[in-house]
Amino acid sequence: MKYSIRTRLTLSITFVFLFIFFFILVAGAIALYLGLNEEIDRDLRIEEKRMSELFALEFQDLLTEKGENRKSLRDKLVEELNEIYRYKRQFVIFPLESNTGRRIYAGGELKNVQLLLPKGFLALKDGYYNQRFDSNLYRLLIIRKEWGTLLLGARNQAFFEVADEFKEIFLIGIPLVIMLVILGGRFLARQAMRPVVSAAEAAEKITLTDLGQRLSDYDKKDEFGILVTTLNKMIIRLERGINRIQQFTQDAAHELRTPLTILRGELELLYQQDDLSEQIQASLQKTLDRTISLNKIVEDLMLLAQSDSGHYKLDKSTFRLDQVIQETVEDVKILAENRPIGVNLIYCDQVNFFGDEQLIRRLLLNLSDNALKYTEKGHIEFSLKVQNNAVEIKIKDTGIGIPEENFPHIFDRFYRVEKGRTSSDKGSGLGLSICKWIVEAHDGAIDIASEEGKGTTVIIIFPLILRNN
Amino acid sequence: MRILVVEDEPDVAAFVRKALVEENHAVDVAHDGAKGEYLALTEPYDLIILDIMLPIKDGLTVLKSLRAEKISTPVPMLTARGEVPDRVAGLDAGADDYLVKPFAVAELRARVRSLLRRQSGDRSPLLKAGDLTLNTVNHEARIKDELVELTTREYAILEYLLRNKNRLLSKGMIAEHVWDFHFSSDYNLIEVYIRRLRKKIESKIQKKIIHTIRNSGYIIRDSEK
Repeated sequence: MKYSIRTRLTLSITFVFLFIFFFILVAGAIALYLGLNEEIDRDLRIEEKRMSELFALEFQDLLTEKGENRKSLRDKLVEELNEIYRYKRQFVIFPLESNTGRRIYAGGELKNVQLLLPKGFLALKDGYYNQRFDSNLYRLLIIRKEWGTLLLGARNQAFFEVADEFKEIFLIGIPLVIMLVILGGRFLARQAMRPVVSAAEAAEKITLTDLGQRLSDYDKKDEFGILVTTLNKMIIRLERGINRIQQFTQDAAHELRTPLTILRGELELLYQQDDLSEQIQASLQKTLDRTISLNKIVEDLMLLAQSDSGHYKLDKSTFRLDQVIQETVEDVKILAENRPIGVNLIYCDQVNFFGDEQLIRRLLLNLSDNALKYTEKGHIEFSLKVQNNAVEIKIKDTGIGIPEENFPHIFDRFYRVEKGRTSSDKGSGLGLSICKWIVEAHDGAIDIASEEGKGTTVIIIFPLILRNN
Repeated sequence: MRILVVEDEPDVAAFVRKALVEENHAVDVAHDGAKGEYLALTEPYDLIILDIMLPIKDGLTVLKSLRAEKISTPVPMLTARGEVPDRVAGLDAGADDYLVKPFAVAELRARVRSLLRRQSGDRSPLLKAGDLTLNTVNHEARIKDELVELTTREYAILEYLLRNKNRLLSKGMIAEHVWDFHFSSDYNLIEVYIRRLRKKIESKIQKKIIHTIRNSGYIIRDSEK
């Protein structure tokens, strides 16, 4: 995700606000424009009424008179009209002499009014028209009377007036509004996201081993309240699920344990009887020892199951890690006795270690067993070093190594590298998962480096905790 | 000796009973906590084997009420593995020992023997077979009075064999007891240690003590049959 929800929310809010703002501005402009147009139309209508009255009185005479009389009448009328329109320059009035189109008078700012006339205006119906002339827009009113046609025109400034009016609003208002809206949007977004942030913080604290906690202190019945409630319900279901798994593991282990105990006990009693035939005793021994192995696998599974649920309690005490390593190396030496493998403890610091001794022994035996299993010839080297408040255990062999493609899986449960392995090895595939768990349970880290055909090196590092007892 | 076994699983109770009867004990079995508690309160037993997970009344409650009634009979408890709190709780409630299920019969017999010995006042920490003596307190092995140097592992194996004197132990049992680990390499390790033990001990006694039975197990016998 490129942007945070808060940023995106801020952007959305900003866009919505800006859109509304524009909409209001444009609507305002349109309303103003229409209003101004209406005003012009109204003025034109008033003017038309006045003209009609004037002409109704004097125009009739003008039409009937001839010669000088007509000229003086006409001049009088023109003077009268000029008087009226001296201050109303935007009006152009030209009543037309009869319906032939001859002009009697044109007043106002445009004398050359002919140009203003729409083409074939004589055929036009009565009403308002827009006409462009000299980059100006004009509003025209055409009215037909019995004495002729009356054409009134006024310059239509509405568009420019509106533009003028809104120019300032746009130039100053928009940046200001954008700024305010972004600030407000950020604030609103933060307010809106606050419950989410606090819920996330609370959820962070809830781990698999601590599912008893809930997302709390948001009890409002709003969307976030619903979210928090939903999450809490999910956590409850999760907790129930985990509890069921733990219960199942416990039950399953118990169910396995009891028959294993019986199987073992009966086999042992039989095996220890004196009067058995050789065949029966050999077969009993094999069955018994395999039962013991089976038991170990069940215990390993139990161990992993318990470690998953965080229920395994380490039995910690202070012990000599160097002695444990020495004993392990001693065992490995014996196991490698009849094979061309040199086993060496090349470095061994004295270490008082605080941890679960049984588990650490398991760890070392597991790793040694692996090294022995996969080394044909060469050597297995152990070392134990203390440096910078940490213990480093290294087990290096010259075995067949681990193919690179298997690396991501070697710590997985039941995973076994099949390639190049002899069929005689009988691991459960749990060994390395258990090793990893043991190391991590002691706050350590395990790393395996391997090259196919050359060997494997296992490095374990534990923090050294000094105990004074 | 009279022993009470309180164990709800009939088959487990059956082989525990068999194992103890083979050792010439008289064994009673109770399948729930209440019956176990009643028997323990009314009959005189020398030892009570008590499972922790029991129907009606759990093992810890039974044990607490026995101790409250001043019954000091030794009680080894049977518990599930890895559950440290259980074990600690058991010992706190007055248990004398605990065995982790699934336990080995050999282990059970050895523990019972040692508890009964303690009960009878025989507090000697010594295990003996012929001229061989093993001190379980300071981990010293002697032949007659001569000290035999043993490594930790050699001692552990020898002690296990001696505690189960006259009983056959398989290599798997020994590996489990001493290493608590299942090696993939077919118990070669145990053969080597047994060989070393023999060299150290039998060279001095001039007599076979650790017998190999058909290459599958080992046994220490008191005397030649």
